[in-house]
Amino acid sequence: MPPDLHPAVLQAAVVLGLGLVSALLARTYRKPVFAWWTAAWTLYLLRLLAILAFVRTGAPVLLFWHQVLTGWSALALLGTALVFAERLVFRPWLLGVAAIPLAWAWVAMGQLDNVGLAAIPAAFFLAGATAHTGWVFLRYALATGSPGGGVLAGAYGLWALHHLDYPILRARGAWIPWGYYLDILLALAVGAGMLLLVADDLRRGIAALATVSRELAPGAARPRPALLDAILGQLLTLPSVRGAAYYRRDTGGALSCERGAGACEGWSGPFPDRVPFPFSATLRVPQGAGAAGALLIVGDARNPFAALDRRFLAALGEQIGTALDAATLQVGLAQRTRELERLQGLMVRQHEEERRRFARELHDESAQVLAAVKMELAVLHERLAPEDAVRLEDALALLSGGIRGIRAVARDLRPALLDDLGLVPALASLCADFRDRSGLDVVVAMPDPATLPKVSPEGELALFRALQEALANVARHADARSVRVRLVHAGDGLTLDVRDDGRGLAGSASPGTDGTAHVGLAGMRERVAALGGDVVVAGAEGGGAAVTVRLPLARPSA
Amino acid sequence: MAPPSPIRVLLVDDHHLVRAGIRSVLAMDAEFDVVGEAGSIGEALTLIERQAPHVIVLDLSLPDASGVSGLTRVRGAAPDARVLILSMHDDPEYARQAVRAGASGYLLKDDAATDLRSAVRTAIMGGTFFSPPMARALAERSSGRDAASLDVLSQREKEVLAGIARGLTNKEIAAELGIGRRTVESHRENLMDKLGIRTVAGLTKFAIESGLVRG
Repeated sequence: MPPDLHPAVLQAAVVLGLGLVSALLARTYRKPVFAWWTAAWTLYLLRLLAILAFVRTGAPVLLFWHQVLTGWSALALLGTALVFAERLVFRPWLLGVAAIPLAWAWVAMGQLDNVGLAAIPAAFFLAGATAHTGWVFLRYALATGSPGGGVLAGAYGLWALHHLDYPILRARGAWIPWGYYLDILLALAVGAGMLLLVADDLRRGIAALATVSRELAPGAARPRPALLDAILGQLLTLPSVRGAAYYRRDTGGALSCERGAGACEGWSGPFPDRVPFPFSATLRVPQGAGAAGALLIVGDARNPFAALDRRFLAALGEQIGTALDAATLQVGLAQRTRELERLQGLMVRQHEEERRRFARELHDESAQVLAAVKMELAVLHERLAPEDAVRLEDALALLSGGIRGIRAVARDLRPALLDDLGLVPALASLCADFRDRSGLDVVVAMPDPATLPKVSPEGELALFRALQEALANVARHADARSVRVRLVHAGDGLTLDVRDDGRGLAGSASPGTDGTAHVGLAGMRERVAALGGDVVVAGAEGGGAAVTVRLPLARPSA
Repeated sequence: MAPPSPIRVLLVDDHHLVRAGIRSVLAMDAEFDVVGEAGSIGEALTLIERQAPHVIVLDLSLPDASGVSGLTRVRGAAPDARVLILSMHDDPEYARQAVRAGASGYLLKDDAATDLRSAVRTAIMGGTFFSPPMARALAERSSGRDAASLDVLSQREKEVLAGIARGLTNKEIAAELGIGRRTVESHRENLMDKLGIRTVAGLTKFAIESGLVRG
């Protein structure tokens, strides 16, 4: 082998190595870009083999194929770049471009004697294709900040220049191996750039995956629109991504835009066939409820998820689908909870209404009839002989007992005082009644009813029942000597405060120590909470227990 | 000033049974003349104009008024008439509010049989009358306890009280008086209510102090 050919053999070895690496990557990752790269390096290798064979045999056909393969390998490298940047769209005229090296080799070999005239158009063709390749990577590097893209842009740029210098220098009798060595260096630079690019791309894909996954963590439960906004928002933070949108598959099977962000903000309607962006990527999102969807990402350069394995992406899609399902469920659950709360409120009101009706019926009808009967019997009583009168007295006593019983039941069912006289007199009466029955010293401080704003019937009843329960607890557990009851109107609410000087929390209303106190207190809490207020049970200063009920006057909408 | 004779009384109550009862009670004395019956405040206002009653016996629970609002309207229409509240509500707060709104008394319907006539008489004389349990509750709530009196008890209640003071059980009292045990319990409740004394010891003490039994 002539020494002149040693660099060509070395170059062939280098290119073979690059081709093998590409083939390995293509086999491992099954991405079209690696197949393209393998094809490009293979063409390049064939080109070198052609020239080597030509030097050995001198057969012009080999020189012809060398020319053709040189052009094709440059085009294949450009194709690789376009595939990588997701900018390759097949057009019929591209076949014409691919035919140029073939045509020009025929012209140059058969029809032209002037080497310079033959070489210069071919050199410009090669330089143009290579420069374009560098330009694709430069744009990619600028959009994504990828170091691999930068290296490739530089290497292809220099290579393009080298394509131009070659025929000129050669025509001037330059040392032939110079071209080979430069080609070897540039091929190595492209190889390095290629590996860097693969690493970058993978890193970018994993970063994108992590970014989206961050929003899918279980526990960060959110309603569906908030979750979608978060996912789309995260996608927008990825380099070169300009917009993202979620398309939901409706019952008819058609995809329609549910939400868009960034450049896709305000998008609606069916899934677009074409988008006005250099790249668009779609991530299928399967969903348990049968309403599958798709995530559309658009941007300037290469889908950030492109490097990732298909199975990764399928898993990511499933994860998003699960999160969306959970979010939908969450919303349904929240709705159901609200509905249950509303129903509960309704039931409490209906229950109270029923009690009120019962109480009225008993007190205002049955008891009155008994009272009327008592009056008539009393008239009779006056006209009877003394011995008969005594018997009638017994009947009258029974009547009184009956009326008393009805009163007790009616009062327990519904405090008529509250409806007839209002909150403050009703509370005051409760306290007075408690004082009479318990013998405790009850100190009451209440505002003049005229200074109080209007309290809803539910609010009045809640306070009334709360006081009833608090006093009952004092009687049951506190072992107290005195009770202080205070109603204060402050700010936008009413505060009812019941303090005793008894044994304090250990013996009184602390949850769990006594079933009845617990239930009563829980009921009080629930009733007050339903109106947006709260109940605090604490130790009072100087021993004893304090129950504080706060009730807002402007009731928050349920 | 001598009371007018007869005393013209207007009944305002939405239960005609109750009105009939009141009528019967008042009819026992010729000094009362029931000049009209109304089932609502609206009817009452018409009758007040037509009949010029001296005393209006008014229920607090009426279809067109609850609480003391009806009382205020009636007082406005008949400023010179006395208004006596006759109600089923035994909470002293009602009585307090009623008197504050200008009522001349507060009587429980179950006490009407015995007390209505004296209540009307008290009212026409310018006094204020309360059913014994109400009077007691009001007094207890405002100051201390008032001494109770044997007079508020019926004959049978005095007999039951005497039995209690002698240490007898309800059953023994029932056997002694020849009445049912439930009746005795009822009498017992009533007299405790009337006297405002809830313990056997207290009742015994009262019975001895008032001379019903000897200590």
